[in-house]
Amino acid sequence: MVRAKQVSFFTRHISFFFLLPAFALFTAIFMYPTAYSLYVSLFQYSLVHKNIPKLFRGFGNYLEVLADPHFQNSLLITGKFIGIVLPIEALLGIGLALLLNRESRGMRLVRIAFLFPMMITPVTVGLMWRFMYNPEVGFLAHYLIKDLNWLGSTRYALYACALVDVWQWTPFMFLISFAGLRSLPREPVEAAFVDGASRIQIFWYVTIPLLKRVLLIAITLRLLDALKIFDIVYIMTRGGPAVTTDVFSILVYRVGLHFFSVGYAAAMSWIFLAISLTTAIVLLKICKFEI
Amino acid sequence: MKNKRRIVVFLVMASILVGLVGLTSATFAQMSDKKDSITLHILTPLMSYATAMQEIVGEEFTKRTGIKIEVETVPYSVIHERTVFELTTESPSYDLITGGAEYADEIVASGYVLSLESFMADPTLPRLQLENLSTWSDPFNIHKGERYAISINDTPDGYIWRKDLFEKAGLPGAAKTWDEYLDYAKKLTKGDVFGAVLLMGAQDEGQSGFMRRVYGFEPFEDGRYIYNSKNEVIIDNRKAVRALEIMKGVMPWSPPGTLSYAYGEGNTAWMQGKIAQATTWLDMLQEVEKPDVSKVAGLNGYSPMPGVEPTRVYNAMAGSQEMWINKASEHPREAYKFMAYLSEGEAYQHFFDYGELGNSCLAVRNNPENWAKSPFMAMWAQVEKTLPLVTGHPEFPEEQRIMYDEVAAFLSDKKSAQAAIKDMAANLEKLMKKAGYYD
Repeated sequence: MVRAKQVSFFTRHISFFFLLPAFALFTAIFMYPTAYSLYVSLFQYSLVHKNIPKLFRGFGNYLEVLADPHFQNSLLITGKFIGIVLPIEALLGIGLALLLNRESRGMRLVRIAFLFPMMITPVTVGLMWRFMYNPEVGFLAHYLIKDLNWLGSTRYALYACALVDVWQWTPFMFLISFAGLRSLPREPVEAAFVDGASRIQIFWYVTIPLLKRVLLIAITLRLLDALKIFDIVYIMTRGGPAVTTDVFSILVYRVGLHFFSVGYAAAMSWIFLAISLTTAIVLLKICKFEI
Repeated sequence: MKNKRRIVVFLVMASILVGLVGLTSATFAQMSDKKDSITLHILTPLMSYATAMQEIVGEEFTKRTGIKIEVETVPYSVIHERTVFELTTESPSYDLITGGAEYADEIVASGYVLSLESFMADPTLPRLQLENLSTWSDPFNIHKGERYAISINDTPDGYIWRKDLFEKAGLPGAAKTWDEYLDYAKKLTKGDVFGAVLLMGAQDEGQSGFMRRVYGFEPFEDGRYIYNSKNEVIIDNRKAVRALEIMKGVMPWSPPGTLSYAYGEGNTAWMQGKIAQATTWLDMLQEVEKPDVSKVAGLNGYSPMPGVEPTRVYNAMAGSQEMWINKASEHPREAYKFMAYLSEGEAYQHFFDYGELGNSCLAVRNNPENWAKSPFMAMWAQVEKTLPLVTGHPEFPEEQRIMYDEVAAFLSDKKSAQAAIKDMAANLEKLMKKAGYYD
């Protein structure tokens, strides 16, 4: 009779021990700050004003944030910003992917060139466009629209920031759409062609349904990213002129790192996280994805 | 056998990791031990005195004491955030920090900077020669009877105007009232020159611009304008509404995008000769009298602020840049030695020579040779009365933001003047209650 081999505790759980360092790092740089942020959001807490006592407020900060006109304004502006950039980026990205989904001489280089904006750091992009928008020496003022200070106009500043975001992140939509197009099976398209469908009909009734999931993933990713927009706006307008580009991240930055009301800023961040998560979940549920 | 091998591999990898971490720490420790001399790190806004501090003042100090100076500059628009961020993390990265008087109370009350009293009483340390420095900004440097800072750069706000353009337009001289200022702005706007500018892109200047107009009236209550002596908000009145309207009046004769002009843009536009008159903190006009960078060097007039009525009493806001010792500094005595060196006075002459219009050293301010180089210095003597900028509250940055938001809302036609002032008063009151000044 063969005796069953005794497996030690360490051997049975060896994978856990290998994961331990990564888990420790994850806890230190993510779990702990997140938990601390939630804890701080329940307090009236200022890092600089020692005369304002650190008081437990429960959900008081949250209620105050929801009633704060600055918060409401920033939500409105962020929503407006997303409403402008997302459809344009999606349409342009898909359009470019369709246009460049062919093999010809130099097409690969063209496709790579279209990706360049995405590779530049947002701060550099912001600085570059800020100079381009400059009414004195900027390219746009000199050669396109004269006598218009885009970044100084309460009417156009948000659109100016949106244009920059579209310029930088349309390549992302293009990349995802292109990858999706390339991975589509050829048979349905060929079958539709054989059945006499026109190109537009093939695109609308075959290609788009097959691409739907990929596109929605791309739109969801861009939406979540656009919700967090900060660097471009900060470099170009810092939320001005007159809070017309005061997107949510800029407001939190100001409250948390200019006034150092960290409790209030943390509450704002958690509310916005809830809004972002809800939006993402709703979007995916609409398309009947399972989370 | 396979499991034993896994255990051995794991232990070897863990040992390598621990070894690497230990080696790195030891290397850094050794590097810091190897430093024979002390280096003082100074954080300052990007201003002319910072350049002077790094290029000449620091070198002279090093020759005398062996202590090195490293100056790091950031734009003025972010110096407050950077300063408070460094101080609240209790980081020893910077030994000395300079910044604006508008948040002096906030920094001192928060306990992140050192009192100078113990250093001043220490006979082994050089004497802080306060008699060489003006007392203009003492309200910002002295807190509850203890000195926490010295001033690097006193400046009032003031009125700068282009003498050549005024002469061409047949105007008699600097405007004495805000109505005259507006009238001149209309007459001076020609070609690519604008008659005035509002620097609404900067919170500090946006709020200050409003307060300049407010200070053109007689005080509202208790000799004050925003709060009375009990910290009750008193800004909600028709004179403040009128001040907003006066401010908006010049917008049609300001450059497009004036709502986004910060100090940097305003300074550049001035040096390029695009603006005919402006009211601002005069230390923000960096290098406007330096012919190698400014097209308008020698063409500028400096005058007291316009008022509301011709018989108004001149009031100026006092501003300055202070220097504090970081509580977390590893070299506080050496930092104090640098302050004492500055207080001897020669450093302030270097600041002036590098383009700083404002100055805290009496010898520099009262030197007729400097008056010849900078008409601003001569104007300083005309200042008869001043009002301190800082309201005395550590919450001033938030107060300033509240006022700035309402001013910006009115100037961008989002609110009427009355609504803006009403909301300003309500939000200031909310802040005072939250800060515990009253229920």
